[in-house]
Amino acid sequence: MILVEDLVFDYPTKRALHGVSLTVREGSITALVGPNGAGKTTLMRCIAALDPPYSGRIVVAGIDVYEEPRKAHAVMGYLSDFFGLYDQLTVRQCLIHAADSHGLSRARREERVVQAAQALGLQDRLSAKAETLSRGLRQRLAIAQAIVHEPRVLLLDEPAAGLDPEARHELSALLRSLSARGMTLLVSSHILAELEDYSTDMVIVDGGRIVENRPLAASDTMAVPPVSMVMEVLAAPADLESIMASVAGASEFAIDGKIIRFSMPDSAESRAMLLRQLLDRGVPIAGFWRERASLQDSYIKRVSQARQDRP
Amino acid sequence: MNIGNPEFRRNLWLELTPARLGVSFLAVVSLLALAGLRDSTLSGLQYAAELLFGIAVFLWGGRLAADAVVQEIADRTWDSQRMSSLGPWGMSWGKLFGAPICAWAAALPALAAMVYAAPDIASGLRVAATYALLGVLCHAVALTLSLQSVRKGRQPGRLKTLFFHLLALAVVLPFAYFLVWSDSLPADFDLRWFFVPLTSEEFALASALVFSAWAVLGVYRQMRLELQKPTGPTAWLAFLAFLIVYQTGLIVGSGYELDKFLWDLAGESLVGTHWVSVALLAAGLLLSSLVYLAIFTEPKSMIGLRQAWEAFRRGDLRGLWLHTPRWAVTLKLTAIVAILILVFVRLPESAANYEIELHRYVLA
Repeated sequence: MILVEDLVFDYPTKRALHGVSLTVREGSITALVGPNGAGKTTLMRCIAALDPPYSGRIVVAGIDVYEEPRKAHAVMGYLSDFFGLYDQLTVRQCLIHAADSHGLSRARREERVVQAAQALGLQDRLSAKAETLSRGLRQRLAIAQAIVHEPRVLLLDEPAAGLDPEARHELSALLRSLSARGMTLLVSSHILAELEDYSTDMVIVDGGRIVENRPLAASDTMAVPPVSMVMEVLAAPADLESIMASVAGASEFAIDGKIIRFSMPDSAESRAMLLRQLLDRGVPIAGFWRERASLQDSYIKRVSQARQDRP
Repeated sequence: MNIGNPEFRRNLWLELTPARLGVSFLAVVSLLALAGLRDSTLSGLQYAAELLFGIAVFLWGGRLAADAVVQEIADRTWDSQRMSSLGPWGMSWGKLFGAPICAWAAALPALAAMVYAAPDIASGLRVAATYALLGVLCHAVALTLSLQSVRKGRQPGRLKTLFFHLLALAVVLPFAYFLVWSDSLPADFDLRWFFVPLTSEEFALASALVFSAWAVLGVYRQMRLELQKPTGPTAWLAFLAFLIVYQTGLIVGSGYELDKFLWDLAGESLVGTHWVSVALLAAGLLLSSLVYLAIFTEPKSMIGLRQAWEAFRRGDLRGLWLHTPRWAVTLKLTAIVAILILVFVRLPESAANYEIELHRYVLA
C-alpha cells in the first residue's frame, strides 16, 4: 500500500534520511519506532507529501505522491504530533470543513460527519466549540478530521502523546477497528507497549536508516530463538539449582527468586518430559510458559545491533 | 449558506462574526455621514470614502491577508490544510478573499460613497473598481510574500508579516497616489501607452486590473509550491517580460515628455536619447533591482541548487527548470538585457562622457 524507494531527505545542515526503502502492507497496522531524531517524523511527512525529499520515490495506493500530491491526499489521512484545531469552530463545523476540503458530496458529507463523530465518540458534542474540548477529545476530533473522507491510508505521528490511560486504551481500540475496516495504518509512537497491543508490522528507524521492517507474528511479538522458557514456582526448594542441572533438556538456566529462565528444545514432548521430571522431584510449579520478547526488547536489541554494525 | 469553496466558507465562519461586521460597518457609515455633513461639496465625501477604504482594505485587510497562512502555521492547522484535496486555486482564492472578508464588508459603504460622489456614474464605477482592484493587489502581494516566506522558514513571526504588509502597501500606494493626483491633471493631458490614448482613470483601472491579476497569479503559483505541486519559474519569467513591456509602453507613449523627464534627470546632455535606448536602460535597471529583491525574498537552499545541478547532469531539463530559483532566472534575463544595452544603446554626443560610466555599470 505504501512503497518508499531510496528516499533521501536533507535538512540544510544534516541528512535526515539515507536512502530509505520500505513497504507497508495493505490492511496492516505498522508501528514506526525509533529514538528521538531517528527520522520518523521526517519519513511520515515525506510520505504525506508535506516535505519534499531530496531524491527517491514514494507511492501510496498506486499514486506517486510528489507527481500527484493532491490525488494522493485524497486517499491519505495524516495527524501530526503537534496538531491544531480551529478553536472557534464547533465540532460539526470542523468535520464539515474537513469533509468538504476532501471533496465529499453534500449528501456523503452529512453521512460521513455523523459516522466519523460516532466512531470517535463525539456524537454528543457536535455543537461544542473545539476550544472547549479536553485534550483527549481534541485528539479524537483531530483523528475524526483525518478519517472523515475514509482514507485508505492513515498516518499517525505520536497519536497517544498526552492522553490519559483510558484515552489511550480507547485509541488502541479505535485503531484496531479502523484496521478491521481495511484501512492501512502507519503509527509512530514512543510508547512501545501500546503499539504492541495493535501493531501487525514493525519498522525500526535509527539514524535515518531502516534497521528492521518485518511483520510481527499474528497478534503478538516473536518468540526468542531457539526457545526460552520461564517457570514460576510457589517456593524455591533449597536444591533447585541441582534439580535444574540434572533434568534432561534444560540448559542455560538462571534462577531469580521464584522465577527460573532456561532454554530447551522446542517440542511438546520435551516440555511434557521436563515438567514430569520436575514434578516428580517435588518442585511446586505455579506457572510455565514460553518467554516472549516484548516489542521494546526486540526494538532495543535491533537498534543496539544496528549501531554496532554501522561503520 | 452554501459556499462552494470550503476554505472561503471557513473564513466566513471565523471572520465574519455579526459583532465584528456590525461594528466595522456602522463605524464606516457613521464616518462617511459625518464627512458628508461637514463638507457640503461631494469632493469631501469622495476623499473621506477613499481614506476609509484605504484604512479598511489596505491597512486592516492587508494585515489579515499577510497573516492568513502565517497564523495557520502558528496555530498548527496548516498541515491539515495542506493534506486536503483542495487544489491550489481553490486554496488561493479561499484565503485571498476569505481572510480579509470583514475588511471588505466594512469597505462596501466607502465604495458606494465613491460612486455616489463622482461626477457621473461611469466615472464613479471606474474609480470604485480601481480601488477594489488595488485592494486585491495589496492583499495578493501580502499573501504571496508571506507564502514565499513560509517556505523559507516555517515561523515567519509578527515582525515579518508586518514587513510583508508594508511591502504590499509600497506596491499599492503609487497607484493610489496616481488616482488622487490624477484629479489635478489638466483635461488635455496626453496619456498614452505605446500609441493607445487613455484617460488617467482608464490607465489606473487597466493597470490595477493587470497588476492585480499578476498578483493573484503570484498567490496561485506560491500556493502550488506550498502544496508540493511541481512548479517552475515560468510565470515569474512571464511577469518579468510583462514588466518590461509595460514600462516600455509608458516610455514610447510619453512622447515629448520623455525629453522633459531626461532633462529633469540629467540636464541637457541626455535630451535626444532614442526611446529604444531609454527602454533598454530602464529594463536593465528594473531587472537588476528585481534580482536583488528575488535574492532577499526567495528561499535560498543549497539543497535546491544541488537538485538543479543533479538534474542538469542527468540532462533532465524539466527537473532543472523546476529547481531553478527565480533570482537565477532574473539574473539570466538581466544578463541578456545587459548585452543588448552594450550593443544597441547609443547616447547623444553631448553625453559621450557618460558612455564609459554606462558600460562599467552594465558590466557590474
